[in-house]
Amino acid sequence: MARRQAGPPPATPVRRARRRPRDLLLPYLLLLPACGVVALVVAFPIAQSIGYSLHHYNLREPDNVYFSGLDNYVRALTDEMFWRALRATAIWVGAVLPIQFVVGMAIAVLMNRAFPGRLVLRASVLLPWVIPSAVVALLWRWLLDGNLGVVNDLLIRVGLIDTGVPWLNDPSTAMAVVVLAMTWHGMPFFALMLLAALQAVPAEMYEAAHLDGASALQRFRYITWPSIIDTIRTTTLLRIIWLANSIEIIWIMTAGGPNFATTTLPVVTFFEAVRGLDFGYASAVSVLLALILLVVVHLYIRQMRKDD
Amino acid sequence: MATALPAAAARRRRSVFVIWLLAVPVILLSIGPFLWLLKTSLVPESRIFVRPLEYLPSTVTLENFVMLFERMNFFGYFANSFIVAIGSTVLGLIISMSSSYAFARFRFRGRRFFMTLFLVIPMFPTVLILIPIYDIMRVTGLLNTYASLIVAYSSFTIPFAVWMMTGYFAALPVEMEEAARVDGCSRLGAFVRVLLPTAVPGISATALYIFIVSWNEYTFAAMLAQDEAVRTLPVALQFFITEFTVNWGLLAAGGVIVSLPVILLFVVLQRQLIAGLTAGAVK
Repeated sequence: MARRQAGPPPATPVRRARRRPRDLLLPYLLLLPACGVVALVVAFPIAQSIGYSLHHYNLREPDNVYFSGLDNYVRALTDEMFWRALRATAIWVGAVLPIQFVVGMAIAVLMNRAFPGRLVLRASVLLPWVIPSAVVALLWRWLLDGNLGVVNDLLIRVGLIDTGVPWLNDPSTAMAVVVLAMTWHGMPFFALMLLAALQAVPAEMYEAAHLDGASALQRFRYITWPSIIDTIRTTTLLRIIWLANSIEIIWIMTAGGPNFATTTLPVVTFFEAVRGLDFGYASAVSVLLALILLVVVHLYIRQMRKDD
Repeated sequence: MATALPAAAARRRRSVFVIWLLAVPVILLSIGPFLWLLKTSLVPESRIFVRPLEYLPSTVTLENFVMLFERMNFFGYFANSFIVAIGSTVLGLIISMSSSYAFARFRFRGRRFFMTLFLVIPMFPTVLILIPIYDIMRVTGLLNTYASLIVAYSSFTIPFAVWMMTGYFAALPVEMEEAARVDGCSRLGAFVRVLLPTAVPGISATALYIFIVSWNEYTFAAMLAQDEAVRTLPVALQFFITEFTVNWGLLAAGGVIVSLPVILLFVVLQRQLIAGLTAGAVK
């Protein structure tokens, strides 16, 4: 039986010969603790959320809760704010992802070379990933500060700008700089995944291609690319889901502002829940977000099965 | 041949030089921002406003750190973060372990379905479960307790721990457990006395990972533990920012304090991960 490590790790049965009824039941009993807790903290809350989304439910008026059908959904879908947030989510994912991929790829190729001091490079590249998101967000607020920020100072020294730009307070630049912060934070993940894929390509294949006179471009096109394409697909789908769900960086840097320029869908729900206490509406928006992401999750599962 | 060797060496030196030429900007962009935070944390408040900006501090002081711990109750937040992260780690490991064993050692109907389930759960938007969990905690009176965070964090730590440990368990050879069972060991005995000890590197890697993720968590903490008595570090940091003023020196020192344990742990985790991976191959 051919066994591969990708996807769900294969089971190595302890004994398959005599199967008593107790043994048939055992694996399910073993799954009970984790499944029980997950039912309690994930499945039940999701069902609750769907229920809330069909109710008028604002914590400010706790005695005035009633079934309101699809009202919250109608409100969301007819609200211009929802569509702006959807667009902002698309821009957020659509901007961070390609930059992370291209730069992450370049760094992975660099890290894949054997050269003296490569450990210094690897340790440095890991750092932005290790720092807690809350600190990353504050750190970039500080770097981008309009008066005291080092980014402005450097740009003025180089002569690209004359006076400090209030990056985070200007609706036209705010999205670009939260994208910058998130790219910085998430890049190592991409670089590491791609590096692992690159290292799995057998060196003999390159040597053989080299002997056959293949150019560097051909070697990349016919050896490297086919070997890493599955990793790229998996990582990309995973990142889309994470990015579309992420709150911290945006929330701490801009709280969705200025003038809602950085309000993505998760930020809408967080805002409505934390500031507005409108649990019914916030739930409806989060259900809509989950439905959109379900498409990506579906693609991801299909990809995992294929890898398997 | 005699002339070819120095030429090859020169070519190699040149290529190393080119690689470093590319590596230096990458390194600077990766660590530069954090170094700037470190620098900000180490200079007196007054020097932060000096124009032009000082790239190398003229005076170095620990006053921001002293201030944090003496006046801002940072010990308290630190303890809160630590308790929540340890609690999440212990709970996550205990709850997940038997499932990983089941996935690694049994073939049963629905195995693939359950594994996919654990894979997909962390992909649901946090906001989708955040509000109901807030409500559950509110109704049960658990709001603003460590327990509320530890329970909420299990929503992402358990699926992750199940997957990670399944990988480690499955990589360990089954023969030793079989031998133990032939010698009269029960299945549970074989798991506890044979599999668990050999899986220690993998389990510690899982533990460290859960610890780091819980230590860093912000969204649930901001919602469920707003009270100062249970506030964790990532949330506490936001309180240095008020509507009108930001105390950047304190904030930078706080950011450094929050990040340092995780950075140190990651150095350890890297080794553990490698140890966990090779343990299965060597034994």
